[in-house]
Parts: sequence; C-alpha cells; structure tokens
Amino acid sequence: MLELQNVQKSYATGLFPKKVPAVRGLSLHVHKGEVFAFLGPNGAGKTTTIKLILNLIFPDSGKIFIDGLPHQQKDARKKVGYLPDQPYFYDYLTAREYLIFSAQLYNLPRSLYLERIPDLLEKVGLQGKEKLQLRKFSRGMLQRLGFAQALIHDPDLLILDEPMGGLDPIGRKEFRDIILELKEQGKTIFFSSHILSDAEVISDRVGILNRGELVRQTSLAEIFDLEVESIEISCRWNGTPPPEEWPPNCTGIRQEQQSTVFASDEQSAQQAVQWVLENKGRIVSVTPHRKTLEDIFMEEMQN
Amino acid sequence: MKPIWIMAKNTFRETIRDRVMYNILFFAIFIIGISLVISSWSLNQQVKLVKDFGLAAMSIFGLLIAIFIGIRIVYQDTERRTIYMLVSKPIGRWQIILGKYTGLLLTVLVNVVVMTISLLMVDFLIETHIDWGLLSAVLLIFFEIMVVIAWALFFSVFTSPMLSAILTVLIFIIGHLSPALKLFTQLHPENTTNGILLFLYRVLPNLENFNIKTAVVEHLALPPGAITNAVLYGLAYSTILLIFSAQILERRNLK
Repeated sequence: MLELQNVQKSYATGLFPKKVPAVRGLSLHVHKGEVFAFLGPNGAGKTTTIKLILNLIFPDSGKIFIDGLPHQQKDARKKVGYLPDQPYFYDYLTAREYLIFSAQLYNLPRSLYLERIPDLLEKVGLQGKEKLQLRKFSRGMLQRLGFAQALIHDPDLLILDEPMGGLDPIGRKEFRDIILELKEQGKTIFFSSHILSDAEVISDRVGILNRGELVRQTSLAEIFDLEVESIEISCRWNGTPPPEEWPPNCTGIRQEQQSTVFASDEQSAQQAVQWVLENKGRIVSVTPHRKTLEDIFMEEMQN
Repeated sequence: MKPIWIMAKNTFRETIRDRVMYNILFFAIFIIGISLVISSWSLNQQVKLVKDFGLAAMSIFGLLIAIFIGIRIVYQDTERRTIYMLVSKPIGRWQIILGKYTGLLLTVLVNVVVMTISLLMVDFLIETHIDWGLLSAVLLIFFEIMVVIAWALFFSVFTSPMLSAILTVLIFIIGHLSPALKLFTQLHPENTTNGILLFLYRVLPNLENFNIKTAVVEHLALPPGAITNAVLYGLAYSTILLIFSAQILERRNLK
C-alpha cells in the first residue's frame, strides 16, 4: 500500500549552507490492511518522512509509491487521509464548514458528505460542536477534527503524525479504538509516535527510525514470541523464616516474610516453585519477563 | 476548475470574515461621502471634485484592501501550516494559487461594487442624474487592483507580510511612474543606460494604462481601444505573475 525506496532528504542550514541529512536511504513497505507504527525519538526524521510521502517536501533521491502510484500524482493523494502532528486549520471556519471544505477538495458528492459529517463528528467526539468556530477549539478538539477530516473521504491509507499528541487519556483510548475499528475495516494505517505503549497496543509492525535511518523493522508478533528473559516468582513464608540459600540458577530479593526469586529459564523456575513449596512457602505470582517494545527501542537507541 | 472555485470560495470567506477589510471599506465610503462637504467649499467645481475625490478614494482604498488581504493570503498559509492540509489533498499547488487569487478578486469586486454604489449615489445628489461614464474608470480601477493583487500574491509566496507590503506599495508607486522611464529614453537617446531603463519599463507594470480618471471626469475623448487594451494588458500581466507565483510554490519545500 505504501512503499518507500531508498529515500534521501537533507536540509541546508546555516549562513554558509551545509547539508544536514534528515532521512537517509529509507526503504520500507507497509502492506494493505496493516497498522504500521513509525517510532523514533524527537528529531529522528518521522515528520520529515511523512511530509515526503505527502509531497509537502521533495526527496533528494528515491521513490515513493502509494498503492502502486507515484506519490506526486493526485490519484495517489486521493487514497490518503492525513492527520498532521499539529492541528493546522483555518480558524475562521466552523467544524462543519471545515469538513465540507475538505470533502469538496476530494470532490465528494454533496449528499454523501452531508450524510457523513454528523457521523464523523460523533465518532471523534465532537457532536454538538459543528457550529463552533475553530479558533474556539482546544488543542485536543482540533486533533479530533483533524482525525475527522482525514476520514472524510473514507481513504484506504491513513497517515497519522503523532495522532495521540494533545489528547487526554480518554481521547487516547478513543483514538486507539477508532484505529482498531479502521483496521478491522481493512484500512492501512501508518502512524508516527514516540508513545511506545500506544504502538504496542495497536500496531502490527513497527519501524524504528534514528537520525534519519531505519534501524529496525519488526512485527509485534515477533516481539511477543521472543524467548523469555527471566521468570519472576513471588512467594510468602507464612511465619517460617525464609531459607538462607536460593534454588539452583536463581537469584532473588529476600524480605522478612516475602521473597522474590528470579529464575533464568523455565526449568529453573519449576525448581524454584518446588523449593518454595518444600520450604512451606506460598506462591503469590509467577511472571515471565519478555523483551518489550520499550526494551527493543532503547537497545536500538543505545546502539 | 472545481478545486480552484472551492479554494476561491474559501478565500473569499476568509477575507469577508476579516475585520480589517470592513474598516477599510467603511473608511472608503466615509471619504466618498465627505467629498460632498468638501466639494461645497469649491466654486463651480463641485461635480468635478466629487468625482475626482471618489475615484481617487476607490483607487487608494482598493489598493489598501489588496495589500492588507493579498500579502497575507499565502504567507499565512505557509506560516500557520494550513497549507499542509491543502497540499496533502488532491489539488495542485497552481490551483491553490489560482483559487486564492480568484477569491481575492471576488472580495475586491464586492468592495469595488459597494464603493461604486456610494460614488454614484453621491454623484446623483450633486448632479441629480448619474454619470454612467464613471463606470469605465471604475472598471480600469478594478483591473489596476487586479495587477497589484497579483504582485501582492507573488511576494506573499516567498516573503513575509511586512516585506510584501513594502514591495507592493513600491510596485504601485513605480507602476504609476514607469511611463517616465520610457519618456526619459526618448528625451535622452544618447544615454548608455537606456537599455536597462527600457527593460525595467517593460517588466514593471505600467499602471498609468489604467488611469483614465481625468478623461472620464472631464469628458475627454479616450484614444481608440484604450479601455480594451488596458483590460487585455491587466489580464496578460496578472496571468504572467500568477504563473511565476505558481512555479515558485510548486518548487517550494513546505517545511
């Protein structure tokens, strides 16, 4: 659905212009119906990449295709709904006027957009605000309107730049639900974020960008299938003193009536559970520890 | 054509919701109205003074409206990044420029119509009939503003509103003085810089082409084809400027 082939972009800065690379040899492929999270720290080049896809800025080299069409073509942009990282709208318009203006730019029939607008406003939680001028909207409300205008033409591909930015926890949950609903409808979603928990919940695949370079692409399934790093066993001693020594291949933290045992593998964990029971202890919890998206992200950043 | 019209309607809505425009328009009508009082102080020149005053007011206030709304119209879009929402949609950058220009022209047209009605009413009060000949001067004032707006839009594509305002006012002043460049080369054919002066004369607008106010007020005969030529000149000049503006925006990275 979205393909970037060896895309390069640099900016000239300073009094004596020196080219600073913003995106370096970026290649990626987002499949139809996939939710792809584009992660990276601030200044990694996420927004630059999105601007390149949308033809707001031009690549120094490389190619970008949207559903097989070169991204400069109008037909390619018809397939895209875009939500920018900051809500940039005409503040003299009302929410309804803005959505009508957007729908007209996509050449939608009047009857269709008039039917769709109330539904969209309800979906993003702006029902009752359609006649309010945008200059009176809060940042979160503008973000919601941005989402509505990105959906006005029912696009196949959604490009969302930091979609959860500016939203309160309820708004974030609502946006996550909308994204999951769109995924169920078979839409392709490419979103940038630095909120890893959101990416973990809604995406199928992630790409990690650092200093303009895609340093890792992986699927969430791969992360969850990763080997268990350690197993944590919490236990209580029911009045008996905790044993002096840990079971084989285990370490732990000893407290007065409670201990936490860390086993390096499943076999050691089984031995540790046996050890607790033999010493008249009670198992409180057994928690396997796998690498999280955050661990992978931090690893890549440190590398 | 449809995206251009959608952009034009939106630009028109943007400008008519701008209080600055109403202030200028109100002041213009006030000045046209006050010409009634001022003309009463003159001896036998009352009618001429009202018409002179009214047409001059239309020209100046039309220019002010062109400057105040024209210089901000693209710059504001790039500065506030509202242009991201336009360019990401299936609309060409040239259509954005043309749409904005058309919207600005619609605004100016409405303003010129309101000012013209005010002028004709004042004229009726003085003359007890309407001098419809004034409309030809008004038509060319509109075309003059059309050229000035094209310049304002052109500057707005790549400079700040302040600089655009200064440059547009300079263009307006130079535009009314540019025939002097040609006259200078005719009077001093030996001058070595005549080539440059003639080049400037051809590149800079000749806004005196649109100035038939004196002839209309004095009921003097205009050279044959003067109005048609001025209209065609205004259309051609604006078109060329719009092509340049669109080309600049087409090549611009919207950071």
